[in-house]
Formats: sequence, structure tokens, C-alpha cells
Amino acid sequence: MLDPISLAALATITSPTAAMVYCMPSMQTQDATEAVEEITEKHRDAERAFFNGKYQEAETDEERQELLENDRPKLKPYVTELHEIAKKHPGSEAAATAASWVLGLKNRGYDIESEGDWALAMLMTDHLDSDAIVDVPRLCSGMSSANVATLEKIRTESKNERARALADYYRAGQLIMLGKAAQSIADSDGPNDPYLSYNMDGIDDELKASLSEPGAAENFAMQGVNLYEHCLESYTEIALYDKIMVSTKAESSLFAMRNLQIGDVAPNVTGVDAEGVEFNLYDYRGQVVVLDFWGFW
Amino acid sequence: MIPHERSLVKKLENAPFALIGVNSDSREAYDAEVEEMGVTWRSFMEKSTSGPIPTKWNISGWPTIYIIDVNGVIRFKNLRDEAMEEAVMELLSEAKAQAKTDS
Repeated sequence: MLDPISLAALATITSPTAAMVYCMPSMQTQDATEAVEEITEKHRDAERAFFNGKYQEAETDEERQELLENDRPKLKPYVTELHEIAKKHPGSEAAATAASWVLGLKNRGYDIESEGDWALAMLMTDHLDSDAIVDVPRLCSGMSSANVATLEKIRTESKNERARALADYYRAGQLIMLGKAAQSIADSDGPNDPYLSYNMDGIDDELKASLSEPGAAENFAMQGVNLYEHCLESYTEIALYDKIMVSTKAESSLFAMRNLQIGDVAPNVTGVDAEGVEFNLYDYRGQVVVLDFWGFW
Repeated sequence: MIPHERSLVKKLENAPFALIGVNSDSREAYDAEVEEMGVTWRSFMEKSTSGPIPTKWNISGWPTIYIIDVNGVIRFKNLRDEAMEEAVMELLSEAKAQAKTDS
């Protein structure tokens, strides 16, 4: 494991002069890819050491809060190093890995503010057609003008088929959410769903203006439904994650929108209990039912 | 979560109320914990978070909770603990009032 100084040195040593790139380009990018891996592993190890050490030993919530603010490994040095490597090897696998990692952090609730903006910009310009772009739709599906632009660009311009499918799927979900947001603005009593309310906090003025136009709620909802239906028909062979197909998730999203809203009669559920006996949700009609999707975690 | 569910089931054992689970654990994990945790309610055994029921219902977060009234209508989503109990009590008294009007 290298310390940050020798990593920086390594990045300098491997910075490509024209002659070196001509002689051994694969060697160059190989080193850069390894350097990126080292940095992300180093961050993971530092996080583990923090959480398994000081954090676990803390006795009160206040102590833990203070540790999180002051003693948790700072991200900035790692992000800066990754940015340096990515800039030196534009278009490389190393740059794509570095940018994806940084973008993922931003969306895992880490506060690196504009420090990570380069990562999305780099993926969208240099890696739009590569497999490195496939995580972007999920990470950029929230409600903001920038996210709308990102999803639209991937949907319409990427040559990567799976990336286009995922962008369609997440854009559909975004449109549905925007429809609900527009409805809550039209209702003037604000969102009654805590999840929607949380997501509406980040909406910029430009997008907010489009939500306030007459008919916005219906328009967004209709576009979202149409796009989900397109996903359902077109993406039966493209995985969203693991072995779950985009078409399957689009179908269940439509099912939930149409049948699982407050005020809907709950559809029946049929399955088998722990004793192996088949039973139905409808066996309990006439009783108040809490249907609880749960597990021991 | 689980202690509150256990006490709610106990408290309402004579009321027209049922807590029905859709459980995502493997058979081994379920059997290992079910007694110790005092789980008394019936569950659909899905064995994973991507079983047919959670997939059809588009479940993306666990736990997800639906609260359904005596007419089978979904009335609340994702209320936990005290808020869940309050909602159930509200629906039970509503059902009582409805039964009175009907008779």
C-alpha cells in the first residue's frame, strides 16, 4: 500500500510524455488503473479503521456525531488525487473508474459539493458510449434541471444500448415524481408524502417554474407512463441490476402506480406461509390489515 | 420495529386486526430467529427481496408497510411504530362506527 505522497509521485512518474505514450501506451494506462484502485482501496480501509475504531468505541450519540464531523477520513485528498490521474489519462479506463467512484460518493450522501462536478462532466463527454456510463442514470435520477439534461442526453445520444435503456427507465420514474411534485404545487397544500417532500427540496427555480405551468401534473404523469410502457415493451433482455430486467421493473412501477396508491383497493396476494400452507391477503377482508414487507436484518 | 409489531399483535389479539408479513429471509435465517424474536404473525415466505410478491408490488425499500381498512382499501403507507399503531386504532374505530350505521 502506498501513502498519498508516493501515490502522487507515481502519478507524476507515469504522466505520459509524447515519446512514452508512443512506445508503451498500454503500460501507461495499466499503471493509472492500478493507482486509481489503490486510492479507492485506501479510502475504504481508512473508513473501516475509523468505523471499527474510534466510532465504535464512542458511547453517546453526541460523541458519534462529533467524530463524524471531525475525525472521519476527509474525502477531498482522495478526490483530488483521482482527478489528477483522470486528467492525465483522458478517455482511459482509469479516468472512467475514478470518475464513477467520485460520482457514486456524491450520491451516497458524502458532502464534497462542487469538488466532484468534474466526474459527471468527464463521464458525459469522454465515456458517453462506454460501459462506464451505465451507473449514471441511477445516480442522476433526482429532480433537478441538471439531472433532466443528463438523462435526456444519455437516452438520445449514447451508443451504449444498456445505458439508453436505463436512462429511459430512470427518466420515466423522474417524470412520474415530477408529476406528483407538480400536483402538490397545484394543490397548494404541499406534498403529503414525506419522501416526495424530501425530494422536492432540491428542485431548482427553472424546473420549479415548469412544474407550475397549467396542466403540468397531467403532462409529466402521461409522459412518464408512456416511457414506462416503452421500457416494458422494449427492454425484456436488458438487466436493470442482477437478473432483474428493465421491463420487469417498468411493469411493477406501472402496477404500483395504478393499483397501490392510497385509496385503491389492495390487490390480492397469494403465497405460502412458514408451515407451507397457501393463503391469500383476501382471506383477511373484514379486518384491519398491516401488510408488512419485512425481514431480520 | 419487531418489538413494536409483537406488542401490537398481542394488544389487538381480540380485535378484527391482522398483521401479515411478506418475509424476505432465507428459510434458515427465518427459522434461526423466529422464536427468539417472538414472531407470532403469519408471513408469505418469499425467501428474498426479489421474490414474486415484492417484485410485483415494486418494493424498493425494506421495511415497506401498507395499512388496509376493513373494506380492503389502502389507507396509509410506511407509518412505523407509534404512528402505525395510531393509524390502526383509527381504522378500527372507524370500522366500529361503520358497523353501527349498517345495523
